[in-house]
Amino acid sequence: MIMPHELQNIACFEITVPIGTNVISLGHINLNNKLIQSVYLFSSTEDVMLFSPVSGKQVSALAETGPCAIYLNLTDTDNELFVRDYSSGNFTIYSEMDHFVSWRINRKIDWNQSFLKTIIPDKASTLNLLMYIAFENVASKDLSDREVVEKTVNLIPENDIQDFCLDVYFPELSDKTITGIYVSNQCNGFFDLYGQNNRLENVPAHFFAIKSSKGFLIEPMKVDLKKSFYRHRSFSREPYRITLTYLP
Amino acid sequence: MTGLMRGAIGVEITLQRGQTSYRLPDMPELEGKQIISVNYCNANDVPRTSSGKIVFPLSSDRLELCLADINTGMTCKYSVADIENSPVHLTFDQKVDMQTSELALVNSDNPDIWLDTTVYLIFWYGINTDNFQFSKPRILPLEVTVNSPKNFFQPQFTLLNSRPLQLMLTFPGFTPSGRKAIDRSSVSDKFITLADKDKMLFSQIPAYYFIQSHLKTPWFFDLPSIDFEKSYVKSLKDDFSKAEILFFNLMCV
Repeated sequence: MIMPHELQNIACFEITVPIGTNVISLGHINLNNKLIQSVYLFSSTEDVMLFSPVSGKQVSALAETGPCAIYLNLTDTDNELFVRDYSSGNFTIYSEMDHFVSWRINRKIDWNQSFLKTIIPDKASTLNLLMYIAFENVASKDLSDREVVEKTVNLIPENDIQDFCLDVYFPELSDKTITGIYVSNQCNGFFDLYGQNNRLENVPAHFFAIKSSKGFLIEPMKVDLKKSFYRHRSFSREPYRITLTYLP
Repeated sequence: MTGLMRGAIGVEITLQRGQTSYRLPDMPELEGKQIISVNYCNANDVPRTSSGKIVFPLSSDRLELCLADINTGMTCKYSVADIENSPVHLTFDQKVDMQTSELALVNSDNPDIWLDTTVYLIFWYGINTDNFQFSKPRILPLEVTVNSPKNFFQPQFTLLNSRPLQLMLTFPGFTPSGRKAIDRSSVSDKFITLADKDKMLFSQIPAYYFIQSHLKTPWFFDLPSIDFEKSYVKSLKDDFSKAEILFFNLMCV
């Protein structure tokens, strides 16, 4: 059965795609020897425009159909080119939709031999996208039969770029194991969480708003709340409702 | 529940004046098969059937499908609107006696509106499972050039000893080789037929159903292989002076 993807670690990379036909090396991705679970691009849409949590630049709106073409090519550590010209239309998650194909890679990747092939028309602009790479580094714990409690807070952004430290809003969770993140729709920001043994780096809140088997969950984790943030990155001033569940 | 498809067939039922109940046509391909889903082709997405007939233009709430279970003889009525609007493929999961199954028109106040239009249904067969897992998939590109009514996929030697899992249609502006690919508005007149060595498996399925990224619940093949030399894309276009390129990715293990 295809289940929602349980995230243990996720790394965020900002990718700049110039106009013209290019091969963009992924050699800078420092995840050698990690067991990679999935790779996704994240794009704004014209209706929900976000700023990058890395640089503050606008995340480009990559249209679902033309005129830009981005293809993923991945080679594993056994030197097999096992993903060849995979169209971004399948692995791009848009800021307000669930139009993507959920997948699992389950391999170690030779990033120096992996790349994006891109074709961007001259009349278009340089693209600024976010790439997310989910990986595992410790054995999973199954706590699904444990009773959990939840706490909900409302966040009201006052600026386009604003960071909300989770310790301010969830201080009672400092020694607890967090088991889930739930957000209201149109939550235009990113969760940046430091766990004891893992890291969820600038994960779009939209990932946790997808209500289907393609959605995302988190593996139970103890979080350093003082170092962890909800990062608001949009023009919106609508209040957001964020719920965390945790083991009592 | 994940749908593992072993095949599918497009079925046309042309409507007649004054007739509100239609036996389903004889479909030997479906004999003994476990039907796990039925899709109703909406005229906006699929304006003409694979044989070129005009698709029934009215709302699907005017249609009901009565499927007879081959083991019990019991019939189950399904509103076609429910089938169309369901975010996932509905689960029928039964062997159907096509000879006693029917399509019925309901709320039929103005019969002339649908005269000579055709209801196009896709019957999918295979298995539903809660236990579907695969490991270490591989992904390959497939391009099909559409420049005639029938356009074959290219032979895929790299697929030898591979089991296909998923065929995914997308609309990049350009293919990896730099050719301009078609956009979504141009797929409504394209139909896909997939075959193995001996027979057709997926017959005349609107290309629309292979846009896997738009499905809440994706579907997978349950097939040992696909013979791409015998598989093709049918186009209903009248003018082939300008070739069109369809771009797919195939996931396999």
